[in-house]
Amino acid sequence: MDVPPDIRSVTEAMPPLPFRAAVRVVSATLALLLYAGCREKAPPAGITVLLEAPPDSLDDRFALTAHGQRLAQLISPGLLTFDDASSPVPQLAESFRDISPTVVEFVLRPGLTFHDGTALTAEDVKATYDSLRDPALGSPKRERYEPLERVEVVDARTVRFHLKRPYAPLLAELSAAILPSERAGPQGIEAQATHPVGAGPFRFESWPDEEHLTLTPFPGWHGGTPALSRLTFRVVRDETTRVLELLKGRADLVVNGVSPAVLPALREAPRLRVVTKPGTGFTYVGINLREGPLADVRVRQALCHLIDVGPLVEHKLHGLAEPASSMLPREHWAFTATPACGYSPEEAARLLDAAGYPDPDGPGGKPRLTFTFKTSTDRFRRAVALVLKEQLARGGVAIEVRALEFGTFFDDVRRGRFELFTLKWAAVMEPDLLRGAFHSGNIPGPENHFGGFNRGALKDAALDRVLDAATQAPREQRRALYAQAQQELDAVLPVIPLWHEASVVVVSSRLADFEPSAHGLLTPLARAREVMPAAGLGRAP
Amino acid sequence: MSGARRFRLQSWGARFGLAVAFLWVFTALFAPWLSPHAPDAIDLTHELARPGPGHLLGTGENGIDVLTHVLHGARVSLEVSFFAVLLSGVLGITLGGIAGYAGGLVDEGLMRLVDVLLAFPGILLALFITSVLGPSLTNVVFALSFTGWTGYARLTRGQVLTLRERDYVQAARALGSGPGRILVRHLLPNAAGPLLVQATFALPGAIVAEASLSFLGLGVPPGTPSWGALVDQGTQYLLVAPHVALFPGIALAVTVLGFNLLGDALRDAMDPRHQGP
Repeated sequence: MDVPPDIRSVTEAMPPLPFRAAVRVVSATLALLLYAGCREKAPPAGITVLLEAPPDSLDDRFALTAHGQRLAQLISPGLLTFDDASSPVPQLAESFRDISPTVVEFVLRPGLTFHDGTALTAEDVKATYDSLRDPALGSPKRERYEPLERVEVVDARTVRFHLKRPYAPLLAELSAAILPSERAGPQGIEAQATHPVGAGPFRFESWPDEEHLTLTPFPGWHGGTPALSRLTFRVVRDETTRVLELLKGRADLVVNGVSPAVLPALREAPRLRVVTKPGTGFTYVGINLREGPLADVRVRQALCHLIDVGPLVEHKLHGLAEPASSMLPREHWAFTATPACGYSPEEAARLLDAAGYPDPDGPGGKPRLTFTFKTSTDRFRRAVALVLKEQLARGGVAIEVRALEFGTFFDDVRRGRFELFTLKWAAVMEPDLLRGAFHSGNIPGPENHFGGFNRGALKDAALDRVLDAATQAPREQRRALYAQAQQELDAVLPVIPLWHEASVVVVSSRLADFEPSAHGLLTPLARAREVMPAAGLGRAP
Repeated sequence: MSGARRFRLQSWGARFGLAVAFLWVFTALFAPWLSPHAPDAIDLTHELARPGPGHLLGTGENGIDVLTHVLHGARVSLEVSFFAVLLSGVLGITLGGIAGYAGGLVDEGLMRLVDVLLAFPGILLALFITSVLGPSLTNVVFALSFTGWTGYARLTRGQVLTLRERDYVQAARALGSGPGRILVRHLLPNAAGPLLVQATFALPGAIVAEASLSFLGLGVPPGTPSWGALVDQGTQYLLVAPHVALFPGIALAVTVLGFNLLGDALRDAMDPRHQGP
C-alpha cells in the first residue's frame, strides 16, 4: 500500500530505530525512577516504634531524658525494676534482702551473660556502682549514690551494698544499668556511647543518626529470646505525622505519644488497638506560698474547691486520667486516701470570706482576688489553663494566663517568680519524691543552684520530720509515715492535685501481647510477640 | 485620566481588595454584635463538634465557637496590623525623612542601622522579642514595628533625596522655611503616594506576622481570639476536626490576598508609567 506523501515525509524525518529504542529505554527508566521516588518507602522488617524525641544517650549512666532511660533499659537493665505499684522487683537480681539497716544483699540470676558473650558477675555490679560514684566518670547521677559507702563482692553471684546510714530510697537507685567491668570505668564511655553492651533483652545493632535506632533480640536474655525479629525506633516529632504513620501501617507502637482527642480516630482503625493503664504521672497546680493571699491556707483551699477536675478528666482527657488527691497514684504502694478538697463553690466562698476576701459586688462583677497563672506554650497545657481560668472566675477569682516558652517558664518556676503555675511530674515511683517536693530543705535557692523541687517554698517542720524519718525506716513503717505526710499535705495544700494521666499505647495488630507499663516503660517489648499479617491485612507497600 | 480614577474604575483587583478590606474592617468593628457566642465561652461537652446549626463553623478546643473566634480574630488582626503599620510608618517616615534631608553622617548612621536590622529575618527578631517580653497584643505590635519601620525609612529617604532639589523646595528654602517645615509641608506630602502603597503591602505582612507569632504560641495571650492561634489549635486535630484550622486559614488567605491585590492596584495607579495619555 502506498504511503501518503505527508506520512512518508514524517516517517522519513524520524530518527533511525536504534535511537527510538534508546529513547524508549530512557523514558521507561525515568518512569521507573519516578515511580520508585513517588511510591511509599517500605517500612523496615520487624517492629517499628515511634518516639516523639531522640534519646539523649543510650548509656544509662548519662541518660537524663525519659526516652534515653527507657531505651537504655532495653539494652542494659539493672538489678531491679519497678512494677506498676512502683514496688521494686528483681530484674537481673534473683532476690534481694536487707541484712541490716545499712546492708542490702543481692543475689544474681544464674547464667547471666552480656551481649558480647561474657558472663555477668558480682564483679561487674561492683565495677558499675564504683564507677558511678567516681568523679572521673562524670555521671550526672553521681550524687544519688552519696549514701552508698562501698560495694562488696561476696561471691560470683552475691553482692552487698553497704550504706553510710540507713537510707531506704537508695533501693530506687539500684536499678542502674549493669555494664561489663571493662566498660564501667571512664575508659569505656566512648565504647558504651557508640555501641552499648548490656545484658538486656535486646542488643544494639545500629544508630546511624539520632532519628533512627535498631535493636535485635538477644538469645541469652534470662527471660528467653524476645519474639520480635527486630526493633526499629524512629523519631517523629509531629503528632499528626505519628498518627498518620500508625494509620498507614508504617509503625507498630507509640507509647504516650498521642493526645486523647485523636484516640477515637485510632480506635476505629481496623489494624490498631488502643491500650490504656492507670499511669503514675502527676499533674498539679503549683502555688507560691512565700507571700500574698496564697500564703493563707484558706485561700489555697478555696481555689482547690473551685476547680472541678471531673469535666476536665471526662472531656479534655477523654477519661484517660484519674482525679488526684495526692502526688502518689492510687495504685502506689505508699498511697493513702485523704479527705481531699473536692468541688464545692459554696465552701470556697465561705473560706474566702473568712480569709478576708469578700465578693465586692456580687456574682459576676469585680473579682475577689486576681492572680497570674503561668504555663508553657504546650497546646494542651494552655487549653487546661483556660478551663481553670473559667472555673475560678465563676468563684470570683480572676486569673491572667501567661503562656511562656518552656525555658522561660521553667526558669520562672525555679526562681519563685510565679503565683500559680501548672506542671506535671512524668512518673512518680519512689515516695521519697515527697521529700524532694515539700521538704523545707529543698526550697530552690542559690545554695542548690535553684534545683530544689519545693518550688512553692512550703515550710512545715512537722512534715519535714516525718519525711526525714521515712528515709530511714523499714518499708512497713515508711508506708505509715508517708500516710501521715499525705494527710498533712492534704491539710496544708502546697499544690492543688489535678490528675494522674493514664499510660496510653497505640499498638498495631502486628504486635501481640504488649502490656503497657504504668510508667510508660518500653520493657514490655521483651514479652511481646510479632505477628505475621494475614493476607489482605498486610502493611501498606 | 488621574491615577485615582483609573484605580476606581478599571482594576478588578482593586475592587476585590476594597471589598475584602471593607468586609474585614466591618467584621472587626462589629464582631461582638455579629458573633453568635461570647469569645471566652467554654463548653467542654461540645469540644471539636462539627459544623451544625448550633455552631455554624463547628467548635474548637474547649468547645469554643469557631465562627465567633474567626470574627473576633479579624478584630485582633486589625488592631495589631493597624497599630504596627502606624507605629512603623511614623518611625520610619520620621527617621527616613531626617536621613534624606540631613544627609552626611546622620544619613550614613541611620541607613547602616537600617541595614543591620534588615540583615536579621524580621520574624525571627519578632519571635525573640515576644519570647522575652511574653505574649500580649502590645508586645506583638512592638515586635512587628521594631523591624517594620526600616522599609518606610528607606523609601522616605529615597523620596526626599529625589524631591529636595526641586524648584518648589528651593523656593521654600529661599523664603526662609526651616528644615522641619520643608519636610512636613513640602517633601512628605509629595512622597505620600509610594508610602501609601508601602503601607498597603505592609498591612497583610503584619497580619501574617501576627498569625505566625500566635501560631507559635508567642503572639496573643492564651484565650484571645486570633486566626493564627486558631490554626495552631486546629493543626493538632486535623484528623478529627479539620474545620478548626480550615476556616481561620481561609479568612487569613482571603484577607492577605485582598490587601495584596489592593496594593498592586494602588501601585499601578500611582505609577506614571501605567498612566494613560
